[in-house]
Amino acid sequence: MSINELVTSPVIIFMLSLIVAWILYTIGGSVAVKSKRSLNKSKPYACGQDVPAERTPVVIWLFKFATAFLVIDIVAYLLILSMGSPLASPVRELILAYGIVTLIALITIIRR
Amino acid sequence: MLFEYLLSVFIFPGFLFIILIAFICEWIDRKLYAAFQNRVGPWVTGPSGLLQPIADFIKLLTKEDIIPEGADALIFRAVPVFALALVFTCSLFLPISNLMGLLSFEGDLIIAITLMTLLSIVFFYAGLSSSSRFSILGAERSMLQLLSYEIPFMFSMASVAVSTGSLSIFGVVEAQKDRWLIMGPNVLSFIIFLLAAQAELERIPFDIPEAETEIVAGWLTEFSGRKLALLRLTKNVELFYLSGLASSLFLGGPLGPVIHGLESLLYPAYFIVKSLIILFFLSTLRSIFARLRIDEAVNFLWKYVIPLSVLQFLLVRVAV
Repeated sequence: MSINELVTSPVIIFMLSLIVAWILYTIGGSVAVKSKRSLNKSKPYACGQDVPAERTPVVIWLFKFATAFLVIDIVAYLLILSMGSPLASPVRELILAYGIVTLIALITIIRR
Repeated sequence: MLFEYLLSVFIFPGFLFIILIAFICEWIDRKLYAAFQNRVGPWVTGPSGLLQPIADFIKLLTKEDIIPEGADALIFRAVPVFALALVFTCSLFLPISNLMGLLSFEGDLIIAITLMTLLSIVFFYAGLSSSSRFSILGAERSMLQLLSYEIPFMFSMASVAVSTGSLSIFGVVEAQKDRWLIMGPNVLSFIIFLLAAQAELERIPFDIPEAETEIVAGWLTEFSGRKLALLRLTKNVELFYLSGLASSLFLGGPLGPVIHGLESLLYPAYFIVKSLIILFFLSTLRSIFARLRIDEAVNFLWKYVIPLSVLQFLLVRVAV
């Protein structure tokens, strides 16, 4: 792989944009007013009512469904497009798509 | 070589240009929305309020940054950065400065749409990690909406790919040298693309995930300070990205009558003008409709738009 191909690969560009976004985030942190923690401020928004902060595990089925949907969606898209003439090399796209989806699933499993 | 590369990634058509044009898009959107409602809109900062979005961004950056109790702090912090990075990467696929985007390879149409779906999932994480009722409701609704607009979106992109015989944005743009795709059987897929883009952007009539009269701001409720600033910037860049994608897929993107020697100036000009025309359509849609309830939105998309998109795909397939 030549250097020209390397620097214009989506992974490198994504890293660069991650860095830019992080720089914007840190600039925000350095100019922002330092926050004093107080009980009222850190409560979840509930129009002044006293509603406890809670983690609701109910929506997980929806998330599972959506992740499966995403995978099948992309595969269907590839299949439709290869109607008549098979794609030259869908391997890179497939690997990228599945890699990202696996990452999401892993994050969910670990954090929940 | 390296200097040119860095210039194109960071200045034009890279990050700085994208941030500025996203702010301009927000300004145009707000101005139009105000004009439709017989208001003035932003007009204090800069010439007729042009600098207002930038002022808002800076103000939000300097505000204090609160992480609510019970929130998953790691994901809550990471979400704005990731969302912004995703839309930046998406925008570099757009053919702004010449016929080929900064990122361009065979199959980037698929990557472009996958990244947009990922963005919706990042937003879902935003709602899930902030552990407030409103956020979770908003996240659920945005996920339900994702499941319904994704199929028509993909079908309209697929019919573009089939009728031009290419899977890259560059190929699609190049195939429109003689005739834009909108002048043909693809006019229906253009309409479907705009509808799906509106649902993707969560704007009226599909803004139920962040309907402020019932669930405050949806998944965005608990975000404040710099996180809110980054997420709002994300929304604006997404707006620019989708209008740019529509203009390059259906209106020929940077193509137009070219004077020899002035290409590097004329291509971006054509591209921006066409994107702003699409933006005008999106803002008009936003101002003339009312909000659909979540069941109405899902019903409408599944019962009418999806069959229509299948039909339209078959039509294009027969016509080609």
